[in-house]
Parts: sequence; structure tokens; C-alpha cells
Amino acid sequence: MPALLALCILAACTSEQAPEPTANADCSTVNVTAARIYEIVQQHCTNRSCHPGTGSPLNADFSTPAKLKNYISTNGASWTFRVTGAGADMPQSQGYPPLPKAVRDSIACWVNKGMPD
Amino acid sequence: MLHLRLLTALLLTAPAAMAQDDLGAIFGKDSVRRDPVTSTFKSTRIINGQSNETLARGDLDFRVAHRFGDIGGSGGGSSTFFGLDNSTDIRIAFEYGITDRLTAGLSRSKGNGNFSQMWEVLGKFKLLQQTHDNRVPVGITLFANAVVSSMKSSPDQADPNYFAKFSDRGSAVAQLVISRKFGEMVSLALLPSFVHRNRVGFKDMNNMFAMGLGGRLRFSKRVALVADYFYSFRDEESKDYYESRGTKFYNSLGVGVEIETGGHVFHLNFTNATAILENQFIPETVSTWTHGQFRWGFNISRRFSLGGR
Repeated sequence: MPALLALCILAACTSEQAPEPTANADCSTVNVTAARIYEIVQQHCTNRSCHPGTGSPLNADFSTPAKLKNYISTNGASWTFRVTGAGADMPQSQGYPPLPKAVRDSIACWVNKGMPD
Repeated sequence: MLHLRLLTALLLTAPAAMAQDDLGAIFGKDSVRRDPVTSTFKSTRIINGQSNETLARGDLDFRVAHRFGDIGGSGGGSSTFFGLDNSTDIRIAFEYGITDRLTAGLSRSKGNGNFSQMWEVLGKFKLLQQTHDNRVPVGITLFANAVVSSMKSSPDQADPNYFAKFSDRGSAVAQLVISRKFGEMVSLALLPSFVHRNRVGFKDMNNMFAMGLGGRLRFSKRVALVADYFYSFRDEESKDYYESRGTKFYNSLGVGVEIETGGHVFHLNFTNATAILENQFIPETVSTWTHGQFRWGFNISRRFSLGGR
């Protein structure tokens, strides 16, 4: 069985590497509002019974725009690491498709600009 | 009777080493002294890593493994009931003993890392069994798997989970489990491992070697302390690139208690690895014990004898 597996693996074995991610968008030309960001958060986070305050995790409660901002203010590094960074694992670690890079870049710009309304 | 007389004469006159050989000649290969050492580990997994054990012929092993969320750190604490509100990975598997030395299995995992929705086919073969007479001082078991993700492709080519073709979804592991049981109390295992991922992120590694070390310290007939650690050989260029972008990789460490309860072997364990499959926890662990990013996990194993013995 292991030999058969090894043969199958060798037959299907490829070595692809993703291209280098392009630099983040120029934030000076990006005009994103809190309302737009909160729509994205609702679509990808709270509407899936995660982060709404009624589910889990309760410390990352995004049930209102104010709570979302408060979380990002106090957990900026974690937010960057898990949502907008190169190794972001949200929401795909929960089995959902990852956020498109353009969306991640827009969120990062919004945070970098001080989360304007 | 003749055998008895011969045996008595040999015991009285021959040196111990000679007696051993002569007994072997009399009783053939089934000499008690050449019996393979059994129960080096109580389960087919140590914690994260494989043990040397395979299933007995005709045994079906239904396994459920679960890893909860971070106990501490920003994702843990009392608000998540120390991680119990979250699950980082769940694996459900059926493994079957084709012979006493050969096990095959199928599993589905949630997955945690670059990919999710993981389907695994695995094989495990005992190449060598440690014997009581030390003629074979270690057991060697070969483990291999092939895994495919059924998750939706990312729309961004720069993401590792962008799938241009089916083979981009695949990964595989080949591993040797070199084990030795020292008396009734202590068992150790060395696990040289190779992970291949067909598609990875920029500056990540398609091929990665790792060395695992596992052990079991038995306290009583039913309870033992188990631990395993995997050191991943990620190259410096890859480490530097990911650290410059805010991602640091860590080696996985698991410690736990193994409790045998009749037909079950229950594992109560703690590990920083968020994923269950070797294909992910060896190259993609980004959580560390020192930041409170370790979690409670369990492996439950229920064996059904489907005959064949």
C-alpha cells in the first residue's frame, strides 16, 4: 500500500510556487468608508455565525461597527496577522474562501488611515 | 521426552548465548525470545505524529481527532472558555488492518493552514519489529499519505490556495517511524519526515524535511504520559521572507495523557499545532506555546473487529 501510494504521489507530483504578491495598493488613492468595511465584515464574518457576539470568539466581537473598531484598536497586530497580512488565515481557517487580495488591501488602507467613517 | 532431556542437558552445560541459539533451533522461529515487542505505543498516533503501531488484521479503527482554539493569547482566555468555543481542526478517519503489518485508511479533515477541506488516503507498513532478544533492536514503520483539498480556489494567483489545475490541491507525506521500547515503562520514537506540497506561496518550500521525536512514559497499566516534537527544516531565505511580512513559523510540540479504557484509547493532549495532518502542522504551524497559543485536543479511537482472525 505505501509503495502504491508513493507511485500515485510521484505521478501527481508537481512543484508550483505562487508569484510574488504585488505591493499593497497606494492608500492615498483608496477612499474606503467604515460603512463599506462593515459590509465586508458582515458578509465574510458575522453573517456566518462567527464574531457576532452570539457565537464565538466573544473577544473578537464585530456585532457593531464600534465594536469592530474597538477590536482593531486594541488587537491591531492580530488583525493584521490574521486578516490583511500575507499569511492571513481568516476566514479560510474556518473553511470559507479567503478574502480577495484587493479586499484585504482596502481593509489595510482603511485601518492605516485611522478607520475613517 | 527426548526434547526435554536435550533441553535439560543444554541448560546445564551450555553457555547462555549458546542455549539461546539451540532453543531457537529446537523451537524454530517461534522461540519466545525472538517474539516481537508489542505495545510500544498504545495507539497508532503519539499526539500529532504517528507511532510505530499498525492495526491488527481485520480491525477497523474509527478515529476522531479534535483541536480546540488557543487557550491563552489574544484568541483565548475566559471569553472563549479557554479555546473551547473554537475548533482549529477536526479529523474523522476510518483505518483498517489489511494484515497485522499493513494498515490503510481514509480521512476527512477540516484543515488549518493554507488549505482546508482535506481528503486523505494513507498507508502504514511495519518494515521491522523490535524483538525481545534485541536481535532487532528497533522497530521501523513506514507511513505515507496523499492529501487533496476540495476547498474553493482563491481568485488571487499570489495565494497558495489558487488552484489553476487539480494537482495544485495535492500534498503528500513520507515518514519513517523508528521506535524502541525500553522495558515496560519507556518508549521512544524518531520520525524522519518528508512533506511535499504541490503548490505553495511565494518563497515557501514545496519540499520540506523534518525530524520528529516522540515518547511515552507509562505510569500505570492504563495511564501514560506522551509527547512529540517536530523540528522543521525550513530554509533561511523562506524564514526571512515570511518574518519580514509578519509571519513566523514554529515547530510543533504536543504533550498529553493517554488513557486506555477497554476498547477506547483516549488522548487528552495539548499542542501549539492548529492542524492535525502532517502535511500542514509540519510546514505551516504559526502558533507558539510562549504566546499562549496552545490548545486542548483529543484523539478518540474506537476499534471494531471485522473478523479475518
